[in-house]
Amino acid sequence: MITLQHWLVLSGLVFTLGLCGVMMRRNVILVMMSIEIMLNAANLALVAFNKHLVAAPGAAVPPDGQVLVFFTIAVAAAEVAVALVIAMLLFRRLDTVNVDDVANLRW
Amino acid sequence: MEALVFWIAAAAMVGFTLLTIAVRSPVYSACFMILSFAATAALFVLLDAYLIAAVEVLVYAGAIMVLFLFVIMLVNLRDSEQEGLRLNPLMVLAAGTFLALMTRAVQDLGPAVGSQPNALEGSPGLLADTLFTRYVVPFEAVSLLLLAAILGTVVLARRKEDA
Amino acid sequence: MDLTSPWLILLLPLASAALITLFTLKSPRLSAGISIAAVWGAFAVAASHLPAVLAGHDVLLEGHFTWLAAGGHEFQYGYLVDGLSMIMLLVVTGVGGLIHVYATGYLHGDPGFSRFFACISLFMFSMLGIVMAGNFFQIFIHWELVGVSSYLLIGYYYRKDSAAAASNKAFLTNRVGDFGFMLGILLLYYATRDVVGELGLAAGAGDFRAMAAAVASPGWLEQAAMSVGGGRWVVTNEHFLWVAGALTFMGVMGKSAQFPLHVWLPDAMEGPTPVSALIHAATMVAAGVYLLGRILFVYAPSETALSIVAHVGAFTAFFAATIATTQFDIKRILAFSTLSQLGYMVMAMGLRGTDAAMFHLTTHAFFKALLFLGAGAVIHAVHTNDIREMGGLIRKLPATGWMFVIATLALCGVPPLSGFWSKDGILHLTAHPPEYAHTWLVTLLPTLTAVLTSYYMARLVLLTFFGAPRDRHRFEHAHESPPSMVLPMAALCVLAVIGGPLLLGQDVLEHFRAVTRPAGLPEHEYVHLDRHTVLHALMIFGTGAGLALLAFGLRVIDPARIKAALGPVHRFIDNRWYVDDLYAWIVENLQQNAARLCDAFDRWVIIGALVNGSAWTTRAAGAVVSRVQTGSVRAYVLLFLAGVAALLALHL
Repeated sequence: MITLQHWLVLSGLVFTLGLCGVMMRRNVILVMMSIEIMLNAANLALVAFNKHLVAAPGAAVPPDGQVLVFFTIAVAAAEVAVALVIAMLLFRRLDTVNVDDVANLRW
Repeated sequence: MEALVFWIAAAAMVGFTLLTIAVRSPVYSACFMILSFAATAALFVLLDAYLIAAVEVLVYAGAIMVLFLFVIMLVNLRDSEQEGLRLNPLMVLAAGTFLALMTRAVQDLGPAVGSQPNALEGSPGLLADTLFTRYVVPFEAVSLLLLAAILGTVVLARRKEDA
Repeated sequence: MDLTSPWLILLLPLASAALITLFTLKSPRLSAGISIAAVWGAFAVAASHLPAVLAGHDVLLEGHFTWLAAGGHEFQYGYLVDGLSMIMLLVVTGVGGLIHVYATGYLHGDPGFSRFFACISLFMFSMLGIVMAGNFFQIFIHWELVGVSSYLLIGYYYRKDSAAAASNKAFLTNRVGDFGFMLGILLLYYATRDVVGELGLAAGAGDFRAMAAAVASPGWLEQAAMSVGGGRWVVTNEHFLWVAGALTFMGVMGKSAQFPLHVWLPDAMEGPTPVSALIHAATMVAAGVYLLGRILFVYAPSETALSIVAHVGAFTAFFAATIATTQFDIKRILAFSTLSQLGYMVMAMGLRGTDAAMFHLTTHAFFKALLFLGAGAVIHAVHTNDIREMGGLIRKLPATGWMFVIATLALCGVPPLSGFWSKDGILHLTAHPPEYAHTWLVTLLPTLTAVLTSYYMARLVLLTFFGAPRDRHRFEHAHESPPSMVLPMAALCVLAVIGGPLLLGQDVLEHFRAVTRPAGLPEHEYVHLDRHTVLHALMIFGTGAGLALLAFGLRVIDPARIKAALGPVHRFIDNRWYVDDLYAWIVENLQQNAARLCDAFDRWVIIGALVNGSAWTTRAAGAVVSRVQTGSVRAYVLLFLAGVAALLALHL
């Protein structure tokens, strides 16, 4: 029997993997891919919650979770586009995609 | 039956994600990620979210990952110069702690109620119904956001000489 | 506008000082005119009330306004004119007025002429404020003001280092006395606060009459004020009273230069001679005596306090007289003489002889001012203060010289001049003192002091005016002073001669007693002009003056051999009994070291550790903490994650 907990633990695990990718990879593009992985895991959790919503008797289950996932995917797409452009500009300027080389956000 | 599909798809998703973050070459990472998204789509179908599964494959795997691949090619890195995953103990510890906490957090959720199967569930019609009535304002907002993203990308990507 | 309003007495000099300072500093003659007009105007206003005071002895003029009302205390400023203050008013404005005129001649051509008159007008305002004050706080304010005026005037020749040092010394010594005075006032105020309210007197804070009534109210003295050690030792109001008396006496000691706060007066001679005459002979130094007269109600119930006053006065008189015998500076001799006479006045107050003291204050103002003005004329003529460079000046300055001689005779108490009456009034007190003061200090020393007085004054006169001139050059160039200087001296001379019974009638002391005696003190006898008293006075004078004559006039005794014979004693006296050296030692070793300690503490602990230290610590901590901002995105993500994990953990 697959319960909600199973889904959520799975989602958490994938999220954590994405987190590890963000923290431990040095390539900017890989970091962005890891962020996508995290978003994806969140989507999974949303749909899982949606599935376990209690429906009003006789009516259909409201698909609010799925609508949110819809939005998430749209926003992720937009974000990826802009982020990759920035990565590309960074490469043009500094000739590197190493995330450690852009440590300028400091005191 | 359902459980079996779940476990296989879940294992696939986790496995491919792991490979994504672990391999040295960015191109291989992108490919593994596409496969991971495929597994995710399977899981979505299992959860009766058919439209979302389709959108996942179309947009995520189809558009976003393709974009990634383009950029990887443009940047034109040599595979041999890449480093793989460098395991930093502190970060592993942090991530592990986080996972443990999250797992602990979801333990106390109320009784999970499985829903009655419904023919309309997960269908585009139902989704569209909700989307364009209750969520029409966020919908419009997201479309504006996409417009902004497009414009931003175009502007940012121009070379100086084109100005 | 009531032209006889006592407010004018205060306002005229103040307005004069302000006008001169603001407008007429460039016009010396106008400044002098304004100042002199103010003083004589004040004299006229004061004199206009004299008949009223003489007729009814308790006549009182009183006016005030509330200056500050805060916290249940109402501070009033105004005037109180009764017999006691009337005496002082006339003396201060009268003698002061004459000295103002003299100063126009003495300081003629001096670049700071206008400044002098501004300062001296300020002084008149301050002094008159003391005289007319009706409450402790007003008198204290003016007490300090007088100190400031004195500082300004002593330091008139501010370019001279010795003058600047002397003015500082005067101010600081006075400050010490004022500190005690203030403590005494506060103590008294505290001790009488309940009773004053109970007696229902609608008076301002520290009002003299209210507090006198409070002190005299039945049962107040025995009332316990506080208990120490759980009731084992009870402090009553009586204790408070004599402590307050001792403390306020410190103010008297400072202002009237009693031992040990006398050290400033000889040095104050650095100021111009009119200043010495007015402030340091006739008026300011008499303020202490006046204060004693005003607040005798504090001392009267307590024999301890009165005893202190009497003994300090007697000792000061003797002590100053001994030093005067060794000095060669004409003004210094007169300064020590002033100290000595002030000692007499204070002692008389201590022996409950307020009338004798006030009378002596008046006559002393006359002849001492005259002596100083004469000395000023001499200095003006020969351009030196040192009597060793003078001699035979009576031939060149006859008017000055003979007036000086008359004043000397008055000071030595030769009948029938004014000094005889007042001085013998005091000596009579010492012959039959009250029980608490029946010591050899009081019974013997004043008479001995009188002998010494005659001696040193005769010495001064003989060396300055008679005999052969010792410095030919100075003698040749000596000339008599202009009328602006001689005429005031003449007026004072007249007063010095007739200022006793000839002016006020046989019962002169009766008059003084009537106006000055506070209620409740025992009566005593007065000196009458009988053979016994006259003989007594002449004997004293004869001994002292005769000795001086033998030594300096007829050259029978050689002073140099006496000096050699007395050796160390002479050195001791000549160095002013080493009191100044003692103070210098105390300041250098005790006070300066304490100051150095405080400075080190301030520099190292307060500035170093606390101020700079906290700044340094903050900066160091900041430097350490800012290391977190490495710029590495990955590190930031880690921190982010840590934060989220913490929040999550909190919610579990």
